[in-house]
Amino acid sequence: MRNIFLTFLCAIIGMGTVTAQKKRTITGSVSDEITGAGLPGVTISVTGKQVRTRTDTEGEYKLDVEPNDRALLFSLVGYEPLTVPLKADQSVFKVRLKEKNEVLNEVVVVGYGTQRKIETTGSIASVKADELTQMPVVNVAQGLQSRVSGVQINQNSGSPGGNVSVRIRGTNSINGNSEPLYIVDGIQISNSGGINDVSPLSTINPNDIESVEVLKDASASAIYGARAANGVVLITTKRGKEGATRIALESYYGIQKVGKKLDLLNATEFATLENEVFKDNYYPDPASLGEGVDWQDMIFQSAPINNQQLAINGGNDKTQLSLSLNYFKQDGIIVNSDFTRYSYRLNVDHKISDRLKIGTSILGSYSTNNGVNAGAETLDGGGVVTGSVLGAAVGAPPVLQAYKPDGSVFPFGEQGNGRYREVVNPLNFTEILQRNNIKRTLINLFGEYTILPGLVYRASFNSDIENRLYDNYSPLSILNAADINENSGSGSKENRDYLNLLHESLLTYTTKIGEDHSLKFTGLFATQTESYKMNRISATGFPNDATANEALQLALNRTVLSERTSQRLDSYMGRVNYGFRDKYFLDVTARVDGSSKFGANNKYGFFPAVSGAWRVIEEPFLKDINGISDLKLRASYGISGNAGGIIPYQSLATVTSNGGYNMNHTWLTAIGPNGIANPDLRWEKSKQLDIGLDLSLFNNRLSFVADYYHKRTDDLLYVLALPLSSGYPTMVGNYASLENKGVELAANATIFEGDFKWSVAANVTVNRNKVLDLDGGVTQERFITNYTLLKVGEPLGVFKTYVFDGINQSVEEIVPGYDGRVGGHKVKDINNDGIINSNDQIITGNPNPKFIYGFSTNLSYKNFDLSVFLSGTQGNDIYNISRLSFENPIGQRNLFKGVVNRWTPENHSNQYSSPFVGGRLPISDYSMEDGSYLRLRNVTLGYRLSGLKGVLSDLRIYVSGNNLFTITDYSGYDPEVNTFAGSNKEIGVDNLVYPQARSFIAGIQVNF
Amino acid sequence: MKPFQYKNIWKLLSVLIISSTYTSCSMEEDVYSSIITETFYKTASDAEKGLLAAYGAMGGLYSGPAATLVPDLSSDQVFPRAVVGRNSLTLFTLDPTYTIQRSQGRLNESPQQIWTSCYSGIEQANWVLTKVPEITMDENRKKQILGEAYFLRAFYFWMLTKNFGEVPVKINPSVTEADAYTPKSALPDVYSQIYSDLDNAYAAGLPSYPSIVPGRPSREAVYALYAKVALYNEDWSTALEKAQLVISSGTYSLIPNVVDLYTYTKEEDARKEMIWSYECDPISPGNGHQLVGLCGPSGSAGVEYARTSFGSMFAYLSFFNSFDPSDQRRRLLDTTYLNRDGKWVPQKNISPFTPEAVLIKKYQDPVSTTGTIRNIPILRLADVYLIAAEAEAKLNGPTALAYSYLNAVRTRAGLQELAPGLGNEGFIDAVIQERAWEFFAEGDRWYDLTRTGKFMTVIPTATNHVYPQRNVQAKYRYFPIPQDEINANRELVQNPEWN
Repeated sequence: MRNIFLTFLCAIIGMGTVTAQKKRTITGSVSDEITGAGLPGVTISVTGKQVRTRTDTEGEYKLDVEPNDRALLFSLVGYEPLTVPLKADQSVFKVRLKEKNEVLNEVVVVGYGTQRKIETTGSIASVKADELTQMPVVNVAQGLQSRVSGVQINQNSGSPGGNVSVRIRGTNSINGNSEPLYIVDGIQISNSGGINDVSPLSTINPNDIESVEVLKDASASAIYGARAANGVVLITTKRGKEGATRIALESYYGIQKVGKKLDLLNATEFATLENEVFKDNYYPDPASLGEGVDWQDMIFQSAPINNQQLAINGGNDKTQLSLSLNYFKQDGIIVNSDFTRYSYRLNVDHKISDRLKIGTSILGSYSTNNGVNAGAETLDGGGVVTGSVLGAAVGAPPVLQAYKPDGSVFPFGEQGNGRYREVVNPLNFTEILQRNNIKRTLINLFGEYTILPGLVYRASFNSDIENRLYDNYSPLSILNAADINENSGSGSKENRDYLNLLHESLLTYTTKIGEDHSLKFTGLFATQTESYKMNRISATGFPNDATANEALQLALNRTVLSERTSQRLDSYMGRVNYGFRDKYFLDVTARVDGSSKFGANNKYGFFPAVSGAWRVIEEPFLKDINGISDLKLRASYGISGNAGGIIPYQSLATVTSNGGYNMNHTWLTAIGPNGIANPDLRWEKSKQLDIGLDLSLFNNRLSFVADYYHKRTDDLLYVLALPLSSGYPTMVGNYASLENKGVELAANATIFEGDFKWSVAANVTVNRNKVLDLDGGVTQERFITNYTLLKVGEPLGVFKTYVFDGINQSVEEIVPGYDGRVGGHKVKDINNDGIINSNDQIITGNPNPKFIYGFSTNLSYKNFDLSVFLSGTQGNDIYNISRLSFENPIGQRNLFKGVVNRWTPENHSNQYSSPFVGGRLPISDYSMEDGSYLRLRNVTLGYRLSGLKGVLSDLRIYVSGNNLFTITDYSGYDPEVNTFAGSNKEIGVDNLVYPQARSFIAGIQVNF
Repeated sequence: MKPFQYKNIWKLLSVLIISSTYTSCSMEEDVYSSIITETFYKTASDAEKGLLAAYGAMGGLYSGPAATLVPDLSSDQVFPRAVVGRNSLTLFTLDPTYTIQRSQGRLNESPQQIWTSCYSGIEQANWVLTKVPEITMDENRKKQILGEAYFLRAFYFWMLTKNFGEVPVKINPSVTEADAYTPKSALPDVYSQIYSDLDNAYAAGLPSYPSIVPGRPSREAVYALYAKVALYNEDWSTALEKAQLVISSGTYSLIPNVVDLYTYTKEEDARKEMIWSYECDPISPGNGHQLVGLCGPSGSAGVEYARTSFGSMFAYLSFFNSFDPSDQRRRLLDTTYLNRDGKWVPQKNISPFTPEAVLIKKYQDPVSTTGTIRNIPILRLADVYLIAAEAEAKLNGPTALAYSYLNAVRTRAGLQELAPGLGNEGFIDAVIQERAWEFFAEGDRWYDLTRTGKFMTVIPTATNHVYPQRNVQAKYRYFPIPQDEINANRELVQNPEWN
């Protein structure tokens, strides 16, 4: 529109200045902006006239113009048209055309550079900013969830800033880190941590991200060699653009609520049960107690979430900058938990000369997390009741009081003659301080110099500087008055300092041989050091709560701990990208990495990859077929590595603090060898084959991407079971193999265009994981926990348990070998040998889904837009171990509602155990549940006003609802759960985890 | 700005390349917070710290404490509440995988813990015995350190062999993977290694009580252990000789009131008789154990027992009734307790699952909130007297000397002297019976029953309505070697009858 208008204007002005001058001849050439190659067949026309010509095979042209002709228009299919004003004193016009930004010419970020999408031979998925931030996410991984096929993202904890695990094409390690490598503007960061830790990704503002590329196969990721076995996530932040300065303000505010509460016994039912357990008629009239206290209501709250972002973007042809400031605050749906982040970002690009460019990305943040222990890892029923806020809320007797008359929290030990001193008032957890402050700065500095046309040297210097301060204080005020002594109260301060420095030198050479052959050579040297320092002071025995943990010197007992480690990684990489007529592509990559962590003889690893693509669409036989707008076949094979599985110094023989002994009433610490050193420690290696298909139909309105992959990881860093008589249980080494294979499908469709737009996108991922070898063949299977098994031939995380077989109705039914009793759980004697032992434990569950999927649709009509986003998993089991604690009627704690139907001599339930002091339910598939779910993650309705006059140029307001409903048979708080956070081998376990919130958001986006 | 020149960029490049080549040479690790083994065991302090690591395994052995629960719950004096797999010992339903303890998270109460802890301690002792001789330090203390390490290694091997029979005798540290695999040794070889270690320990010049530091073995502790090892080895003359050396040294004495041995306020006085114990203190970090909580009534209800107790372990009523009412040791059991309301709770209400619960009072600690005050006795003088009595009778028949050793223990307990005139077998049975009354809940009785073969006849009679039948089998002479060991150690075979 604008161009036409300008042309029209030129024409009018041109007409107004007609003078009778002679024709003259203009000559020149047209070339490709990037490659510099001459472009044949470019149409050159005089604006407003029929006069036109075409460039020859060299890209040169000649054209006669009238003196009053104002401008030339250069056009070529696939390129942006260009209008060049004619100047009277100039007769040679050499121009460069830019390729049109159509689907086919879309540029994607790849490792160490960018590529036109059609040239890519690997499996790469891109997600753009608007999708990433459609939901109110605290970190980028949440934004990626269910958007990309082949990537399984689990929000393990719904706590603000909480743990999220990402698996690209399955879990590829057993002991090590299976999280992908994240690269933010060239800075390598990692993501790991426990269920109660802040996810490291939460320190990066997702609103600063322009796009995310997920490198899934070996060819795409192998150039990151040693760190790429789990795939690579390339994060590109927003950079400044040439043009008028744009100021954007974004703001949203919302309310979050817990999606589901668990059904528990009320006070009457609880008291009745207590009388049965202890046979002491402690509650003479249970019915008079009524409903009692709903402890879940006491700890769940409606919590606000809010985000404010200011972004400034602009620049001229030499310098561009992009600046943002962000404030994000999310209160948790469990009281006393929240996450606050202040962050900024500055990206500057500057052209010193035509040959030399420099630039920087700086991302800084200051985050504060107040956490709670929502659940517990141990199966021990007491641990979850006394050590976690959700466990306490479920287990708290509804007959007790929350507050004293003076309004302070009423410890349970001070109520009812101390009968419930072993249970904890859930409100106690609201008084425990568990704060984590994170200061983090990511800096990338780069300079890029064009040595010769096509030959570019780029040096970058990256740093990730992070400091974490952990504050903990458990006050005296929550203790039973009678239990307070000189050792009561505990507090600690812990400092962790991380410094990660990376230098990369990159040399690229891009050239064309003749018309048909394009070549790009890349060479890299990189060196990286990571260092870690920590110190912690813990103290117990506080005189009072006045100073909390801010004056540990006042405490009676203090212990200290400090640690420092460092590691180093050097890398050399070479890559050749070859293309023939945009039809055939071949990429070859080789990388050598050396890590300090490995044994003396195995420091270095070699990681090659090769990949090819065939754009069948370019073949003549497809040219005439209507409907097919793109068809590409891809194949790749390569090896990538992982060193994340081990901590430093494992290949060295060391002695450590090794227990101790009480000598003369004093604890003396010991030092001794802690294992057998393995000088042969080496890299984990993943070999991956990928075969892919990209297909677009009907003028790109319908597109599919399909990939099959087969990934085998050998030399897994694992442990060899040693004879216990050696003095050590295990030895670290390369002792296991794993396989992941699967199919991933993504489809996009534009159903309507125009005023009414409607598009849909869907993806499905099927992954099959299998342990191929373990322990170097010494053992075929090994328990990781009491129910999670590692077994050759089975996927990671399978559950091996007894088989629940109802309730023992009589003494005759009891099979010896476990704590069987009448009215207690019966387990199946699988091999019918009359005794229950390990032979009767079988695999009863698999936490790996059969498939996972995501579906989104966007509709817009004029100024309105509506989007809906659903996702789900199918066929995964969850071992709900919280039921082993809360369906076990042992007294002194409240239980799940089902227990009202417990076994009694009169009521022969075949499901719920009879009352019994102490004891545990046998570990059987009793609480194995189907974890499949379909969740409506997001519905957003927006209204946009654009092309406004005045300062405001563009405005959008929207409302959204998140996690509106979840269709599932699962009985716990949330089927998207794992008590063991991002663990590789302990998955799908629920011992009460911070549930995800349901939220309602209203937001506004304004551009000036 | 002056445009950049080619030569500048080449300078920059060459600097980068040179610097990167230079820096990329070192892939060695910089170690900060760990000590490389090669640089350790160089000083007197290293020797002390290394020795403490050999003591460290005591924590694993006695915090469950597997060392007493495994034999006691299998035996005829005390029984567990049927929870967390403890009754698998009482009902003899163990398997080599120790499935039930494993699945209940209670391997620390199983025979596997005994195996694991003992070999962990042996490994640390092996390092001390290999490395400390090269250290330049005070020679007297060096000898003592080696002596303590020999003592601990002997103790661990004895714990292993009394529970598992033939076991690997591993006397060198595990430096490489190849060192990790050791086959079993025959029983005589196991005992000769223990003898040799104890001979070395005795020669090390360890101090005697009271100058010995509480926690470390005294010179007499070496012979006390020696006597007991020899007793289990049916080497009567050695047992008698070593026991007599301990008694005649006069270093230790039987304290007048047997109840005071187990009174938490009198633990220091009790050291006169307690030759060597598992040391506990109400400190953190520090060693503790579960017995205080297990033996007290459930719901922490007994004011005299513990701050927190669970009512998980009781004595059989028949065992309580086997005491002569005048036997002071019966006061270490009880059929009632004082609750927190100041009321005495009758026996039928002690535990909701049995009306016949008898409370064990050897591990009372009503005050500690952190750790426990209560040490667990391992070797005490009463034991040495009874070893002497048994060994003397085995060698020379029920002599006056044998009677005098036995009666020393009986009279201290408030009993009459044993009527003379018993036959050889009758006297030895009386000694074994005396041991039962003296050492209940101290992890001793089961081994008296297994080493004498009495377990097959005695155990089936030790029943109550909680455990109406106890099907002990001959293979329980020794516990099964943990399956984890069998899987990992190609050179080892399972104990016969456990395959």
